[in-house]
Amino acid sequence: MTGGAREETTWLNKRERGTLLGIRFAFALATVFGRTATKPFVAVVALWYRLFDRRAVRASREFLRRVRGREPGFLEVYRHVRTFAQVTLDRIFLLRGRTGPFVFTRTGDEHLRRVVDEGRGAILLGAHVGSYEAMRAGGAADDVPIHVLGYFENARMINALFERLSPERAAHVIHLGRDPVSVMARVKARLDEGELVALLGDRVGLNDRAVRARFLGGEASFAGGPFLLAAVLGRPVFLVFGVYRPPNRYELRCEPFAERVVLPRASRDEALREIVQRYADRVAEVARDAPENWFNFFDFWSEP
Amino acid sequence: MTESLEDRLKKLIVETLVLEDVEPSSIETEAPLFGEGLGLDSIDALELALAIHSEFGVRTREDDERNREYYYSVKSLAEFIRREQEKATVEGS
Repeated sequence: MTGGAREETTWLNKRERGTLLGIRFAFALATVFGRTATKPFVAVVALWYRLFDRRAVRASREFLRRVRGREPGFLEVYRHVRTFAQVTLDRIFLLRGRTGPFVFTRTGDEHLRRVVDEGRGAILLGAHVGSYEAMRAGGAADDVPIHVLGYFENARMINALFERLSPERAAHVIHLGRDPVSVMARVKARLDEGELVALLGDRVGLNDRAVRARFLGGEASFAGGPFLLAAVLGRPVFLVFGVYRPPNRYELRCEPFAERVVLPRASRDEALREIVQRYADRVAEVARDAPENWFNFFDFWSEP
Repeated sequence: MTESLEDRLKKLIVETLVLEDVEPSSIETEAPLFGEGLGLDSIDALELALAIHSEFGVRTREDDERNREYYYSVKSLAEFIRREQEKATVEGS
């Protein structure tokens, strides 16, 4: 059941060692001189990837071409990669609870508030668009834990670093893959307590139940797992995005997506396809609106 | 003759997970449920745990390190359910 996850080797995972050194260096820089001082470093790193990481560049070009309807220029791809580098670095600030350098704008907080107050528990579904960390750090629901569910095996070193930076957050990470029974029992128990479980739906990972959906003029694989999870446990689903707007703003959005996911037995596949398509359409809208926030640097439209 | 717990479990697995083309009797009692064998995944695990709770009143706990052993095969699952049910009877009396 780890097949899908293993294929999703982003350049972040592959060059983990170098990235880790870079992150440490940038963080030391940031600690002494502040976030602004890291900008030249981010620019150099991004330029390096723009010049030498052909896989990331290819993925960026393909995405930007689909969004803009024309071949993207050198600088457009560079800016795309730089946004990713910046948001990755910002993650460290956010993990340490250092929200000072940032401005957060929030929309849709009230939806989450309502579910939390009712103690119902909910599934927060994101995508690799913008900063997922910002959503948490922005304090959408300070008093209720958000448990992040996902595969963290193939970025072990980076996550070890992140865990050290924020042990409190590490306690709220649910690692998929080792023991499905315990993982799912834990997800259910947390939701039963009225807590929130967050996961990403634009890569196949929760299991191998990939669903193909139309996406930016092509067809891509999305995860069916999050919707099955919501259906089985009868929990509402909210979409969450943390869109980065330079130089220092994060737009946190929470949108009601499905009060109840119903997948009738007789037409389960069909119903699943429909809801995944609706998710894919919304992700496409967000990605069109803020293309540089698209952080899937691999061939997203590859055949299954 | 009453149905064995193992047979009831096999039926429950097929019904809960809507395994088309699988006859309950064709599931081997000692074969692994996850990975190779029947090839169940995490959503299956969740549905199965819920079904076992409603059918046998046995709860799967989130912090039990032996969950993997319990859910290894129909045989281990039946042993787990028997043990939990016995425990509940003892505590109840």
